[in-house]
Amino acid sequence: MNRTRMPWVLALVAVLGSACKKEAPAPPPAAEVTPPAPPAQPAVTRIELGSSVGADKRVLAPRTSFGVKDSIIASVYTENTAPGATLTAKWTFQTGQTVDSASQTIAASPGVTEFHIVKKSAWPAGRYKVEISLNGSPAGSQDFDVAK
Amino acid sequence: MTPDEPLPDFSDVEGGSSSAAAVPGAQNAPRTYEVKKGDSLSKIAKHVYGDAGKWKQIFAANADKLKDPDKIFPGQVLTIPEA
Repeated sequence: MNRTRMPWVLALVAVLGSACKKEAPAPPPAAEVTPPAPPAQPAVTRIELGSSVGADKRVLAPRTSFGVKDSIIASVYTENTAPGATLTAKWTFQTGQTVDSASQTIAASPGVTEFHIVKKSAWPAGRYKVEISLNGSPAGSQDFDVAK
Repeated sequence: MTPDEPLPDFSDVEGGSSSAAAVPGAQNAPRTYEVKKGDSLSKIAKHVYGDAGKWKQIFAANADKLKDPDKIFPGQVLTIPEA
């Protein structure tokens, strides 16, 4: 081989060699697999008490103190409930006596369900509680007072 | 109540219930009341707050639609402010 061509040949070999050594491109990262979110649990998200309720079943002015002649209404907010889910409201007096108990199928999810109690004679003054169960399981409670 | 007092009678209590779909985000939306025949602001305040004297709160919250507190009409929808 002609000595004048030798550097060119060496350079070509070097270039080809480096090209051959080039690392293969990294494989694309594996697609991240997000585990499916667990199904949301049915829940009572809020309990409000008042004496009057709108068409949307929300009490108009939430409060926890009532007069002896007042109607008492509980608005219960629910989410993630299945069709046919049932709410139960149990009203009790400070003595432990049950004042009233009622169940209601929830209309939709999310939903608002109202429970109300009225008394023809005056409410005894004292401390009361409404306990809410969702499908038979305790889901929340709210205390309130009746004062003369 | 004292321990000697008889337990109160709740036999005349009547209860009921109903349910409706909730509008998303409605939990914090303003609460409204539709005026019925025979209503007055003080009557509404008594019904809603248990205190007729709070009619001024309702009047103030509806200043955009009420010019005279004595002139409300059936079908009007009033905003009910927090007590």
